Formats: sequence, C-alpha cells, structure tokens
Amino acid sequence: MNRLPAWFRPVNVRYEWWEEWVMRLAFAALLVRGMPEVTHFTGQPVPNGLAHWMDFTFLSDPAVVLWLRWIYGAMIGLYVLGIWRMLSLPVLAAVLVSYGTLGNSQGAINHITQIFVLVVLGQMVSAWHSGLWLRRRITDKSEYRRQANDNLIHATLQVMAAVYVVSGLTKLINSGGEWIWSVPNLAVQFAKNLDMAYYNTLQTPEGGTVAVIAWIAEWPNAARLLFGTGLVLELFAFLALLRREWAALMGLSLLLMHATISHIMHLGFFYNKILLLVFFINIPFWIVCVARRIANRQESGTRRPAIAPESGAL
Amino acid sequence: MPKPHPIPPVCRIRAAWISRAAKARIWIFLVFCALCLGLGEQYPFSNFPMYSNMEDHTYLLYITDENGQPIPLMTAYGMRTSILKKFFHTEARKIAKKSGKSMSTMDPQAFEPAGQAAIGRILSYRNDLNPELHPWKEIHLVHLDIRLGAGGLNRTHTRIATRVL
Repeated sequence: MNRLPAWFRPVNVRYEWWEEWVMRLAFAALLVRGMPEVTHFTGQPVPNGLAHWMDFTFLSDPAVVLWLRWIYGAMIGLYVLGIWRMLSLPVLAAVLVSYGTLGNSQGAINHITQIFVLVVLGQMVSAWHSGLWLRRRITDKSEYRRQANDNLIHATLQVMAAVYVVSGLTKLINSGGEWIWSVPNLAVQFAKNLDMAYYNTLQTPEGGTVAVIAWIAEWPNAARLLFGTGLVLELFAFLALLRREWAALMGLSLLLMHATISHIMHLGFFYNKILLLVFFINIPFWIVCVARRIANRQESGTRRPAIAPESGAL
Repeated sequence: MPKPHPIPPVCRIRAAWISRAAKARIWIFLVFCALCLGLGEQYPFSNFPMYSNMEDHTYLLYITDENGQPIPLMTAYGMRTSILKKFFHTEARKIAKKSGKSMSTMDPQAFEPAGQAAIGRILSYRNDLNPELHPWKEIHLVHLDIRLGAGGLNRTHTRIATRVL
C-alpha cells in the first residue's frame, strides 16, 4: 500500500460530529419524502422482487397507511436522534421497499428510487454490523459511537459507488464491450425522450436536445469521447472510497454528468444528485477546511495542517 | 510428518480476500455489486440496464383521439409516455416470444392485443380523474418508430389499437 502515490492510498476517514449531523439531517429529509401515502395501485399484475411472494396492495388501504405513517415518522425521529438504528433502519427499509416493489410490479420498472433505498439497506447492514460486532471490539462508548457513525457514512459511500460501478459494468456486458462504439446511436434515444416529453403534455420541452442530436450526427467521435467519459466515471466510482478528495472529485464529475443528462434527456436523477451532494461532495467539510486553512495561515504565517490528518484530507 | 493445515488452500485464499476487503472497508461495496449484478431487476436491486445496449432504432407510443389529434397522456390520464411504453413492452414481448421473432422485425400491427392491454391500463391508471375532462369518443394507440438512417432520423407512425369509449 505504501508504494502507492499518496492520492491512491486509502484513508480511514474520520468524520467530524457536525458533518455527521448535516448528513443525517439531509438523509432524514429524503426519508420524509418517502412518507407513506395511499397508493392507487390495487393489484400486482407483473410481480417484481418480493411481490412474487408477498401482496403489497395493503398500501392502498387508508387505515393501514395511517398506521404506517405514524410508525415511519417515529422511525425517522429515532434516525435523526442517532439512536436505535438497529430498529429504525430495518423498519424504514421495509416500508420503502414495499412501496417501490408495488410500484415496480405494475408492468413498468423505473429506476428512480433504487439508489436511495439501497443506501437505506446499506446503512441498515452497517448499523447491524456495528451493533453486533463493533460493540464487542470497542469498549469505550464515545469511541464506539464515533466509529459506528463513520462506518454508517462509509457504508453509504460504498453503496453509491456500487450502484455506479454496476451501471457501468452492465453497459459493457449488455453491449458486448462495444458501448462506446455505439454512442452515436444515442441520437435515437435523445429523439425518443424529446418526443415522449412532448406527448406527455403536448408542450415542446425546453433544452438543447435538438442541437445535441445534430452535434452527435456531425461529430460521432467527439460524442464517443464525451459520453465515454461518463462510462469511465461510472466504472471508477469506487475511487470515491479511497479518501475525501476522490469522493469530492467523483461526486462533482458524476453530478455534472447527471445535470448534462437531465438537460438533454429530461430525466430527473433527484436522489442521485442529492446523495452525491451530501455524501460524496460534502460541501460543509470543504468550506470549513478552507476556512481553517486561511485562519491558520493568518495566525502563524506558516503552512500547518489545518485539519486533523485522520479526517482524510491531504 | 507435517501436520495438515486445518483450512484447505482454496478457503485460505478466499479468507485472505475477505479479510483484505474487510480491512479496506469495501465489503459492503462488493456485496452490493454482487447482489445488483446477480439479482438483476428485483427491486430494490437492479443492474441498471438503461441505455446499456444502444441500437440504431427505438420506438415510443402516444395516443390520439378519433380525429388523429394527439392527447396529452400525462395531463389527461396522469400517466407518463415512458410508463405507457413499459406497460406495452411487457405485453408485446410475450407476443414476440410466442411467435419466435424479434420485436424489432415484427410489424407493429401484430401487437394489437398488447395495444389493447395498454389502453386498458391508461383508462384504469388513475381513479381520481374527472371524466368530463375527456371529451374524446375514441382512443387510438400510435406506435412511433424512430430509426437512424443515412439521411438522419426517420420517424414512422403506425396506429396499432383503437378503443371506443
């Protein structure tokens, strides 16, 4: 490991208490968005996932949903307080998986919430791992709490990285390794999305899709280079697990990729964007890091580490 | 005589990898990668196949009234055209499988039963919409084929199903 350049050496990142709070509150806000609502789906015509074995249509019963809302709300409360995660996260995951499974069992699979629900599952695994294994190894209570919190955040990063790497690998597998070569065919997909957006409301959508289609037709190799960069980003998303700088760099790049796709293809990527902002990029840390560095320089006039080395920033 | 090691060599190598993954704190990453790739489209797991196999043609569906005027699907029935396509595609794939042909080589009109099923889904998608906002007497499902040719994009519109309301 020591032969690797500093930037490629993995760091056991220690998160500050305020970072952990910001992340926890932001994630709780996403959980609130998943608050149970009465669904209009009353059947599972094409079962997906757990719907092969379970009937989730109880989510269309207002009385059941009212109870679920209370339970779900209480679990968010526990999550925000950072206590009883071994209880709160499985309940939150169960509710979110139930809604997603019912929605995806209507014959039309979408990929809007998967990354978010997988992160909840990843955090659940981390909470159980800490509760059952880490607690026995670390006797000091405050150190245990800190390590458990760090592991929870790192688990989130791992799940997000896994989602992007899997997406990249699937592109290579399904295209027989010729994905980059087939990039000019994206023009067909862009045209389809543009037409679909039009037939949703009969309003011509804004954005530069038509210009992009023309650009791809005129410069196919430039398009291969541009969209190929997106594939490389996905495949190397695991670098974000090495240290803070990589996480921020990959986060910014992936966010830019999503923003570009949103603009051209009229796709949202809401959960992807928020999770990247909060966990990969982690803006509050970098603001404090820069502020401390400036303050330290003004105080001493010399270059000193402005933030503890174990925080994971060079 | 040397004592045989209690753990077979293959298991020892595997154990070493697991230990390394645990030390590098990437075991959740590896487990989730394996589950997503292994299970495929089983919510919440997915191998995220969107735009993974790009061909030079695709299609979409939209609806019109009896005069051939497009109806805004989202505004009128609360359903997105992307959802309509997925409903249709699920049924159309079954028809193609039965006939032993590829979907892209079949005449769109061969998918009339899938079109009827899709119109049924549109009409039952939301039960809280005001029927007075729907003055049309018929719904036509139109298949719009988009192909990348030498001269650019070519679009072909084919009506595949009709429902009298």
